[in-house]
Amino acid sequence: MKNLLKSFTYVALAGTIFFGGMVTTGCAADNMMKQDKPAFNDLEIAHIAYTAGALDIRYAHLALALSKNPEVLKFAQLMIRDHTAINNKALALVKKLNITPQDNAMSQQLVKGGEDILKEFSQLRGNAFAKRYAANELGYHKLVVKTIDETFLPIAQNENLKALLRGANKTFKVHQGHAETMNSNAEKL
Amino acid sequence: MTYPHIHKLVLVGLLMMGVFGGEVVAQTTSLPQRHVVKIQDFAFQPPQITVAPGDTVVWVNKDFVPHFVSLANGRWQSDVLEEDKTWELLVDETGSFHYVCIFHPEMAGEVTAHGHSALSLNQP
Repeated sequence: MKNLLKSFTYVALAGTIFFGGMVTTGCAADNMMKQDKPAFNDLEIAHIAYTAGALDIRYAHLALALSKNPEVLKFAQLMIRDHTAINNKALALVKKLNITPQDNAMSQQLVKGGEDILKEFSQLRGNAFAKRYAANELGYHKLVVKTIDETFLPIAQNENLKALLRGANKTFKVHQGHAETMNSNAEKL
Repeated sequence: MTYPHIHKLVLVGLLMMGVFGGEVVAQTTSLPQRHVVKIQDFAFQPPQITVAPGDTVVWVNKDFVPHFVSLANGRWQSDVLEEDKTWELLVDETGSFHYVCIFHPEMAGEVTAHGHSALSLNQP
């Protein structure tokens, strides 16, 4: 368990990964998902899903630090609150099943993509930040929802993991709706 | 076999009816009800409930993520409700009360309270 938590901490600190990175490295991720055989096992899906949430939390913390836009701030707070809850749920499941999520190529790509986005965000201020953050969040959630529905759920084996993914995706669909509104308003800035 | 004490009681009762103008006052008491609103899949279920003053409404969060129930005007609001946590509200007035989740404002519900207080005696 200690190693697992260490692994998760590393993942989080390393750039917090997944879907946010997919917005920019989406082609590579899509290609991986189009392979004939299932691209991921359950342990890899768990790793990707956790790190995806952690990545969005990192984006949100940066937004809280850099933005004064009320809608951006509210959305960022929501992301921290909801993704933390879901990741805690994932950690509880990992503990219950006594498993260790596996790092994998997609996670690594996502870490790299996430780092690039964070670097880009850090250079932006004001409306430029709000627009970029809003656009990224919308793209992120669209891709998350699609990936879970069309890629992860069909190949996941463990029923507990599938239940977690289904529950999480309900949340992400709600987030997508919020992101659409935020993005629409940001485009008018 | 005689029961003089019963006769006295009947007499006292008849006298009391006279004192109260000859009317028999029927008094009934209805017990306060508990109404459960489940928070699930980012919705309040049921979205509308009808209660009586004195009833209690219990919200229970069955979602993974926290919710925060609040009357639209902020007059009453819950604590942050983590998964499986509950919050109770004792309804103490009549009216229609629109509420939302502050975290996810697209989630909305309504409590309508009307009728006599369940805590009081009802007189027909």
